[in-house]
Amino acid sequence: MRAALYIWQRDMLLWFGGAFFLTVFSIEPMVYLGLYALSMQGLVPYVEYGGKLVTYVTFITIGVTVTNAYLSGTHAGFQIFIDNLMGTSELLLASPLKKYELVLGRLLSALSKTLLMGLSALFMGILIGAQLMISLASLFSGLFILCLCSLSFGALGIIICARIKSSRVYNLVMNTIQLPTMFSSSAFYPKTALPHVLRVLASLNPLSYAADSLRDILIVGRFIPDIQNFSILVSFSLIALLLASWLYSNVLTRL
Amino acid sequence: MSISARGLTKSFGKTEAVKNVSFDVQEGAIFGFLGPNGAGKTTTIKMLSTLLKPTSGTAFVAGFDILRESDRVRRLIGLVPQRPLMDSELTVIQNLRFYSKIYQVKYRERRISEVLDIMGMGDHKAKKMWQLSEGYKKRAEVARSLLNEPRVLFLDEPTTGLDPIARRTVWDIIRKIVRDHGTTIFLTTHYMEEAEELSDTVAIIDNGKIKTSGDPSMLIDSIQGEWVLKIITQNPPELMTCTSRIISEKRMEDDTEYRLRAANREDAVKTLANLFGDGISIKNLEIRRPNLEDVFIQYVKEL
Repeated sequence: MRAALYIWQRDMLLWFGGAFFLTVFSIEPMVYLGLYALSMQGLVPYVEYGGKLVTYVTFITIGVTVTNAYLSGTHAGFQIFIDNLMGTSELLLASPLKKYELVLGRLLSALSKTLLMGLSALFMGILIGAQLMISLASLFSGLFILCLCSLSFGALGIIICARIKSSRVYNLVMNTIQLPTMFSSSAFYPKTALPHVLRVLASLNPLSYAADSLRDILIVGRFIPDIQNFSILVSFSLIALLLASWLYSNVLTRL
Repeated sequence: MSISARGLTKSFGKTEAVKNVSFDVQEGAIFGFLGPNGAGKTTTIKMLSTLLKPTSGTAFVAGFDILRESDRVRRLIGLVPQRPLMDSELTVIQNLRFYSKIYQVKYRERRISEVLDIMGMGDHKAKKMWQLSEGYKKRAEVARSLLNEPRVLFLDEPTTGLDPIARRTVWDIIRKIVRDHGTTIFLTTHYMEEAEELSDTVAIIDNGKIKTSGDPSMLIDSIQGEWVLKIITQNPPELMTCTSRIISEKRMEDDTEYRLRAANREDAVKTLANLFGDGISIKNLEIRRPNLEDVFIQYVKEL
């Protein structure tokens, strides 16, 4: 089991060591919140959510937090893709490492990266004036939801990357999945304000349920999110987690 | 025996990459596995190092069955792949620390220092892998493979892409590992000089089948008593009348390279005279005793 921690350590070392990380970590939330949210605040000063009227910055802070977690989650599989591409997976498989340790280590690092990215956006949102219901209970509950989002989006990243073997395909798949998922969700706008087609898509999109579950806690002030949002998010997380574990351990072929 | 393969076969769909291969490697010996590209060398290494499941047959590595005791095999082997596979963004020491943890190496830092010393890499340990020359990348890979003090070390074309000096350094390191630690080496290469220089035993594989195996000097002796004439000519093949003497024929852009067999020195001179008599103009000529390359060519017609 300790080997899973070594895999996690290595993945984090690679992540923190890259200039890419520092750039994305600091710039991405700034772009979404500092530029987009503050500019939109003039056009859409208030948004209604869960019976409460909140500033657009408050509303979108949660959306950007979840989106940031989603984006870094789908990218969390990148190390798997790189290892498959460079052949490092082969070195790992020729070692005494157990397959489940490798899968667990990957999931742990996906969770950590995604959680850190989500929290960085949340912190940035608070800095620019998001009014969130912060208490010990909401922090605990919010962190749990963010972990759930991180795990499911990290698992989604592993699902995407497990079988991809070329950078061209990787880019194509990422571009096809990421932007449409973000903009067909309730991350940036409330579901009720979306046109009919987008509203239908948003109701099928796990990102919407992740954003709304976190809003239920940090905006509405519930300890447990709306049961529908929560149960869909939990179901999606479980399915993604199981599928990622199954798919990845099947890709890791050895005797 | 350190490695004992019996009827190893691997098919990918309808293609049989390795066909019913059997061989034994003694403990502490260097076994050279020779073959042209695509002959089945890497597939064999992957089966022996538990990365690929044989379609049929099995093998024992370090005394354990690769099929039933793959976990134990993995603990006792080291693998140096054809190209460097360690993380290029991490330093040499970071990579070694990671793999020493994965292999549960006792007294990690001491062992890392030892392998760095063996490979002469002490001054390069803080460099990222991408900052190293090809020769040092290869050394770093060998250092990693030695962390767990393997009983069997698989070296898949360890000197491909290295300059002659770096190549000789790797040879010295391989000899040192065997001499000091009694490690068994399974070496694939397509450099005949390398195999002849290092191996106690060689096997020549082509098209998935082992064509011959044995002590390199014995294999050379098997075509001993014969001399080899290597000529390069621009003349068309129709002019060659001594077809029964041709060992191999290799077409190049404007020329053709022939290796011809002669029974002894006098016969070699006579053959040469015949060639001139036939009107063959010779651009380049080499008359010598056979070497492992000639054995290889005899069994693998295309180089």
